[in-house]
Amino acid sequence: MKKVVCEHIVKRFEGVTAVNDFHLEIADKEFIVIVGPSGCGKSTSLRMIAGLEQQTSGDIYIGGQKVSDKPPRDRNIAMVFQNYALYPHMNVYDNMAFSLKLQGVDKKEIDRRVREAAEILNIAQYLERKPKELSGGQRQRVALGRAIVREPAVFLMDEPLSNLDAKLRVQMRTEIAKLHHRLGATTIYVTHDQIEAMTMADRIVVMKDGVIQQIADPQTIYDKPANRFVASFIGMPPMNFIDCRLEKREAGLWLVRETMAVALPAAWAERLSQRFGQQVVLGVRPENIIPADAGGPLAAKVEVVEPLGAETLLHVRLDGQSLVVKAGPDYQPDEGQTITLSFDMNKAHVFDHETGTTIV
Amino acid sequence: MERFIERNIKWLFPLPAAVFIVSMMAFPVAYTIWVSLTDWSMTSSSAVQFVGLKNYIALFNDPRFFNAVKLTLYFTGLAVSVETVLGVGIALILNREFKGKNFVKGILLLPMVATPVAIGLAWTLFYEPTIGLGNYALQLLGLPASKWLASNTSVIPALAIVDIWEWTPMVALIVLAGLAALPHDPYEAAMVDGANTWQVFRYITLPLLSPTILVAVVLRGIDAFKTFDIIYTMTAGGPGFASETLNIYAYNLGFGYFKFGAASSALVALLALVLGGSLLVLWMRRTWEQ
Repeated sequence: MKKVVCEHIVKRFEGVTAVNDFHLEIADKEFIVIVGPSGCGKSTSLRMIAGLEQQTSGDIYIGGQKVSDKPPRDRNIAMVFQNYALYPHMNVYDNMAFSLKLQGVDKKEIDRRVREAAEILNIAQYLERKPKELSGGQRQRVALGRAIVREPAVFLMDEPLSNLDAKLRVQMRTEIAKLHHRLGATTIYVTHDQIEAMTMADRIVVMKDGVIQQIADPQTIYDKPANRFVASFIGMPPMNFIDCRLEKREAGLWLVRETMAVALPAAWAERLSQRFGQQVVLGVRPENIIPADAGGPLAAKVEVVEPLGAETLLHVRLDGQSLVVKAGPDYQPDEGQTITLSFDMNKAHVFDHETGTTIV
Repeated sequence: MERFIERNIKWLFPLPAAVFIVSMMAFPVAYTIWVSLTDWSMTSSSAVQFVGLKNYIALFNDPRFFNAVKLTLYFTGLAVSVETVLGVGIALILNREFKGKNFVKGILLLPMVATPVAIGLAWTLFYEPTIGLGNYALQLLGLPASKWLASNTSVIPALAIVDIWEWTPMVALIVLAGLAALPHDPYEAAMVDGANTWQVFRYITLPLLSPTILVAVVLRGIDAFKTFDIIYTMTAGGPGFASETLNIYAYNLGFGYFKFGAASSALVALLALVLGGSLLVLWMRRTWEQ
C-alpha cells in the first residue's frame, strides 16, 4: 500500500500562514493534481510531503508510516523539480544512478535500471552527456528518469512542465500520463496549469490562499465547482459571472438586472427560498450561452470576434456586463452588431454574492 | 584630426591599457631576460657583455639553486594545501546562518590587511624559543618545545604557518563566494535522492566547487611561490640556506653579491616555474571540466 495521508497540515512562515488545514487522503496508484494560482501554497504542501519543508503542525503518513519528522531520504519518495535540479557535473547516466549508488545497490542492477528507464524515456542515446548539452525537454526526461529508477512509493512533481515550450508541454503531459499508467505509482503533481490538472488527474485539489477549495475528479470540479473561485479557475475561457438580484414573481424565480431578466428552473426554488430579494451571482460557462441573430430573450452587442478555427469566441456586452461566448466556427457576426443570447440554465450556477460559495 | 580619431577609434580606446601593460609588465620581463644573458655585475668595472646562456649553465650547476627550488616547492605545497583545506572548512562554516557571522567575517580579514613586515616581526617574537608564545602553547598542549626558525627542519613549516595564518582567510572568502553562487536545486534533489550531509558535500558541493577551489589554489600558489617579505624579515634565508627560497636566492645573488646577470637568470627560472605551474593547473581544470 502506497497511500499518502496529510492530516490537517499547517505551515506558517514568520507569522504568515502559507498552508492552512491541508487535509488529503491519497489512494494507492492515484494521480493527484494540486492546482492553484501562484502563492496558493501548493508547492509548499508538496515540499512538506517531500520533507524539504517542516510543517508547523499536522502529520504526514506515507504507506501507513508516519513520516512527519523524517528527512526526505527516509520517506521513500522521488521528486521532479520545476528547474530539473540535475547534478550539473554528472552525466545523464550518473544523474540517474546517483540515488541507487547511495543506497548501495549492486552495479549490475543499477545499470539495468538506468538503461531501462532511459529506454522508456527515449534518452538512451544521451547517457554520456552532461545536462548542459541537453535541451529543456531532454533534461526534464532525465529528471523523470532519475525519479523512475528509484522505484519509490510516491512520485512528487513540482510544476515539472512549466519551463518547457507549449508544444513540448503537451507532448510531455501525455508521456507523464502514460508513464503513470505503466508504473502505477502514486503521484502527486503540482501545477498552475488547469489544462494539465484536467487532463492528467484522477482527482484535482484546488487551492487558494493556502486553503483547499475543493477536492474532486476533474469532471465534478468542472460541472459542480464548490465556489466562485473554483468555477473561475477551471475552464478556458473562464466562466462568466453576472451580478443579479433574485426575485420571486408569479411566473416563477427570476434573476434580474436593469434591463435583463432570466427565468430560473423551477427545481431550484427550494434551495433559493431563503434568498429572495438578495444579490447573488449568476455563473455561466461560455459554451452554455447560445447566441442567435434574433429571437432570443437577451440582446447583447458584439465587441470583439475571435475566430479560432474549431470555434469562435465572442466578446459581448450585455446590460453593461462583459461576457465571453463560445460559438460554432461558422457563426461570425460583425463587430458592433446586436445579437440575442440565451443561457442553458440547467448548466448554470448561482453563487453567494458575499462568500462566493455555490448555492445551486 | 576628428576624422583621424573616428577612423582609429578602435586602436585609441585600448591604447592606455596597452601602454600600461607594455611599460609595467612586458618591458620589465623582457629587460630581465636580456640582463640574464649578460655578465652585468656591480663589483666589476668592465663594460656589460653579452654572455649567452652562461648564467643559466652556472645556475644549473649551483646546488644552492636546486636547494632553493626544492624549498620553494616545499613551502608552497605545505602552505597552499593547508590553506585550501582550512579555507574550504571555514567557508563551509561561514556559509551557514549564525549570529555574529558578519563580525567573524570582518575579523577574518584582519591578517590579510596587516603589513607583512609587522607580521614577520610579531611572529619572530612568537617563535622565540625561550620566551615566545609558540613554545608556551606547545607546553600547554604537553608537546616538546620546538626551535622554530632556528632549526633546519622546522624553519620551513614555521614560515608556512605564518603564510597559512595570513592567507587562509583569502581562500575562505574566495570559496565562500563560490558557495554563494552554487545552484540551490541539486541540494534538494540530493536530499530526496537519499544523500546524508557528508555525501552531499562529497558528491555535490565539492565537485561543483572545484573550479572555484582551483582558482584559489592557483592564486595562492603563485603568491606563495614568490613569497619574499615574510621570509626575508624572519630568517633572510637562514639558518644557513635552510629557508633560502628562489626569490631569496635571487635577491642574495643580486643585492648580496651584486651579480645582476646571475640574479636575473634565477628570476627567469622562477618565472618559468610559476608560469609552467599555472598553465598546468589551468590545463588540468579544462580537462577536468570536459
